[in-house]
Amino acid sequence: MSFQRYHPLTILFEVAGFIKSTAIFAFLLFVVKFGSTSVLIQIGQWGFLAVTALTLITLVMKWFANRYATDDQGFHIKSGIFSKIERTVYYEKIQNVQRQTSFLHKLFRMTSITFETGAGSADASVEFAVLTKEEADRLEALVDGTTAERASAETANETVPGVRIPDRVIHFTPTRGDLIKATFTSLSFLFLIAIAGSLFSKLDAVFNVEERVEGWLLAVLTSGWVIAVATIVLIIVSFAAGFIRTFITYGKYEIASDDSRIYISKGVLNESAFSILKRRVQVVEITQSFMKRLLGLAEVKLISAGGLGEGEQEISMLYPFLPVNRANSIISELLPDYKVSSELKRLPRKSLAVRLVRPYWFWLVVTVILAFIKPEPFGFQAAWWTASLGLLLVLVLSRIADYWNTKYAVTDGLIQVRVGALETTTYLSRRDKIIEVSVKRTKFQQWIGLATIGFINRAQPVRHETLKDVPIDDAEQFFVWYAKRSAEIQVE
Amino acid sequence: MYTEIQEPANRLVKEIIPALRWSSVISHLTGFIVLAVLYAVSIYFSLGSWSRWILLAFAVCGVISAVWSIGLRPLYTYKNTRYGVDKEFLQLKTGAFVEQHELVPMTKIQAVSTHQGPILRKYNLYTVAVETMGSTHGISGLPKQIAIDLRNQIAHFAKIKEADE
Repeated sequence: MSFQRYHPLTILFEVAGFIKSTAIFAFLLFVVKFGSTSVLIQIGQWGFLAVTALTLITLVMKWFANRYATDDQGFHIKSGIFSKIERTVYYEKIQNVQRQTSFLHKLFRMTSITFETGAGSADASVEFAVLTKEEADRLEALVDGTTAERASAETANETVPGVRIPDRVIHFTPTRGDLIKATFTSLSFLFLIAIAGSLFSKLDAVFNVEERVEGWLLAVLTSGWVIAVATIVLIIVSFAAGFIRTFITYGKYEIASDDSRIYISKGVLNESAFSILKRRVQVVEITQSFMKRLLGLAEVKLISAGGLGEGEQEISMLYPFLPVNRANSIISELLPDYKVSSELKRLPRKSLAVRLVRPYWFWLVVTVILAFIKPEPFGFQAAWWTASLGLLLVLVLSRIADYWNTKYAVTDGLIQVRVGALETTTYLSRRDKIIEVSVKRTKFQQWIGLATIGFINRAQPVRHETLKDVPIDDAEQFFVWYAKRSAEIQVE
Repeated sequence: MYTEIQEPANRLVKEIIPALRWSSVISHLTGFIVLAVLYAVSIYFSLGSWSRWILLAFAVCGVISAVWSIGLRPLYTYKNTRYGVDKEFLQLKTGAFVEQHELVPMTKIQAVSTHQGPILRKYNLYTVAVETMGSTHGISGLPKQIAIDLRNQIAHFAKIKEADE
């Protein structure tokens, strides 16, 4: 096994990172306060130079000290200047692969690659901050185990060409229409303005509000044309800005897959690519914010047991603005074992009753506080109890909405649960990926014949999902359903 | 709950009741001593009477909690805890007011151990702790031989690992 150093450009990238993080500080010390006679500033200047020198020396020393090697089993990594660390990470433990190509990487035709394991500690991933694309391809192929196959194929049949490209199928790239829709969801506040505006004009027609509103509000509201023009300009400008931002982030999105893996790549300026083994997917999560529900869009996330680094959460996500139908079909295309069921069950009526009579602790606390303070904004004496009633109404409505949106299905090897009041979340997991289940019943639920079911999935951190107030028969079925997993799991 | 699955049948031993009682007595005594010290501090430094009211409120809560966890809870724990082990699953049933059933596949168990604190030692009891990838489960109050047998049994079944982990 021969150890090799990381790419020499690593030092340059680290220096660039250092400059980026200290630039403002340096600017203050050496440009703004240049020639200052203050002792404090001078200490700062000399201190800064010392830190810079020390950092540069450590960077170079680190580059000399850190090495890596690969064999047919895993990565071997040596690191540390004074205390030496040797680490071995086996390929089979790697959950997903992430590649990020920043603008700086692009300038030098480099890339970075991170292999994530399921371990919880800081050592959970193997990172190569700067390396050539060829080396990244080689490492990724090693992890895939494809090199071994390729090598054996070559020895068996000399005519097989060197590189075999796996049959990738591209499932989705956004069209311009998709991007415009996406822009709209991120500009939800403008919608609110528009809705409020139209509501106000209707109100105006009925009650003649303008006569009652006084002072500055009147002045603003009645200077019609100025406001209208300003608003339209503002809308156009922010829409254009939003579109450019959306294009930079989601413009070059691509969801592809082959037999064993799913590939997601995105980004125009900073490219990033993410790949995950299909069998490593633990949970599929479909989220719809209120805005997305109005527009019929959904966000699909593939959750694996791999450690999630900063910002990586977003990459494990399929395109966040998929039309709902497309989202459902793409899940089945990518993961043939998963099927989003449309025949979902709603909880029985008595669940709604139980949910409505559960104590409103939040409301109680707020009301007690309000009753003590009795705030009187604008001299409005009844404010505190109207606020309390209003809050109660909102809470009741949100419980009803949550009941209305809550649906579930327990089919052959899958469980699907949807919850949420304004924003809905659907969890979809295979039975063999669930690591533990529970059924819980409070005395109250026992009398009424309801139960709370819970299941745990591997993820980083572990996902605990619960569904409250399921009929007891279904809870029992859920337990039996889970016990049947032993028929389908493969043991080593 | 158990029309098609074997209901867990194994119970804890009766000695768990005094053991749980003693441990509650000790924890509550410690709490009351702390409250008493704080009360003395409040008087010594002549802090406002509000501080003593807060301490009194805590003391009342402490008394209620003591009645519950010394008088009643040990009985309920003894009466309502069941566990069961077969080669595929660990099953647990706990709780009187909030009845909870848990089903943990053997293949997902990462570690199993026995523990014994000073109070459990007095009654010659053990706690078997089972760790999975997602949580920890404890079966507290088993006689030595049963605890060790259970630990070894779980360890034996849990040796089998699912592909893909």
